Amino acid sequence: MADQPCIIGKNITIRGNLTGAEDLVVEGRIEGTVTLSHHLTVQSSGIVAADLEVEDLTVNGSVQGEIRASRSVSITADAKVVGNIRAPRIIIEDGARFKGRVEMDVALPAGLSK
Amino acid sequence: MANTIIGSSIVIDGEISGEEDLVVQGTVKGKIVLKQNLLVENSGVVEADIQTANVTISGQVTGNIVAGERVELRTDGRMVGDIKAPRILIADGASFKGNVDMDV
Amino acid sequence: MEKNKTMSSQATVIGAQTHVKGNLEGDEDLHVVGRIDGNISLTKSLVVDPSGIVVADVQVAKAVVSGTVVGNITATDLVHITEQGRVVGDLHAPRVILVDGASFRGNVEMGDMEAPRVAGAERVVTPKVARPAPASGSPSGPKAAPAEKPSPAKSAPRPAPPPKRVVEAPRGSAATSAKLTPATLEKRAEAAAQAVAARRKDPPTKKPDLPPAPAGKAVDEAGERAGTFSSLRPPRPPTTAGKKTKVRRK
Repeated sequence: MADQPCIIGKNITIRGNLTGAEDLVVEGRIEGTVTLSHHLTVQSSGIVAADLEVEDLTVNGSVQGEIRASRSVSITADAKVVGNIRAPRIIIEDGARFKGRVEMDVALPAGLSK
Repeated sequence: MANTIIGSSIVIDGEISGEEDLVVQGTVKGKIVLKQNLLVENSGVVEADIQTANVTISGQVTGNIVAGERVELRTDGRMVGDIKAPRILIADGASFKGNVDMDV
Repeated sequence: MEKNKTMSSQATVIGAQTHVKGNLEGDEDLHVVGRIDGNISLTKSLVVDPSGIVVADVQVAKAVVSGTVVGNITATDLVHITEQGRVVGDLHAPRVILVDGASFRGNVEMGDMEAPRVAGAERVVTPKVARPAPASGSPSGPKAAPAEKPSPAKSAPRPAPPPKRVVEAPRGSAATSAKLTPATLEKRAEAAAQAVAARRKDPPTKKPDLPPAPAGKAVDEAGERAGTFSSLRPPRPPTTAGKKTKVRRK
């Protein structure tokens, strides 16, 4: 078991399908797809052009792609995200740049439906 | 005590219904149906049929009023329309044009 | 006598037991504790209380939603959905804040946002252009390219990385592939294959929109049908079996 998460360094570019069962921190570039059963963090230098399927996602950098998280997605103030997000919890901080669709289950009061 | 206040720069085109007091300082066009009191303040302009318990008018109302308790037209109040209410009070200085029906 | 106070100290309050149906516009803050159905247009802020329900398209400077909004919100300054807020509709605002616990479903548009640049990765980044049946046998499948960018949202159901380029290359002879080197082509074929593999692992929830099968005309020389699902597979070596490939198609 790694003591610290796996880090993809700033000067590394990965193209392809990436899967993992531990936390992953991206400071470099990923293109392709990422499937992770843990927490993916895209740091401010990170650029991810990939479809993501993760448990938790924290974006401090750039992400473009379809995002599916089983737990939460957090887009912080420096982040830039283009793509659709489906997750039970989504946090967008003031200053974040985001374009795309958000799909969460929204419990509407009785009588309303959309 | 009013819980709903329509501010002076607000224009509502539609229906307002409710079970609490309403204060109109802006403009309402359409219809007002309340269980409680309507207060049209000086700046208020109402072009609507009104159905409520009490109406107090210090502004302008164009439309018919059916009140369960009372209609009061204050000094600055101007009204064009019919009033049907068991009690009516028209203050000195108010202007009013319309029919009055106090039959209850 | 200034009736219309621009700096009105009190906001307009729609009380908890009040229901407004219609259009509302104004130059002051609006605080909704009750319900509004219709359209709201304000030069200031809309605040929706936890008990507030707004079923309306909203145009405001700022919106702070702690209640329910069903409708599109266009804000010139900011949309803030708090922990108890629930919004179904599109958001158009330069700033959007979604607090942990908020519920939201819809599109978010913040103004001009281009896709982040990834060197050499345009195959993934470039949004897919809609590919209707390239009827009348037009040899060039690709439409005027990445200039038109549909949102990446649409890329999910579409075939993977720009197959249009893939199709272009094997056409006829290698001589025509002046634009692409074999190496690039190979890389892209690989990417396409991986995308397929990924999709097989995780099939998209929506079925891809298959363009209607063009009636036999769009088979270019390579035997590839431009713009159909078959372009997901790595390009086959050019064959003359135009007719045979038709049979496969449903």
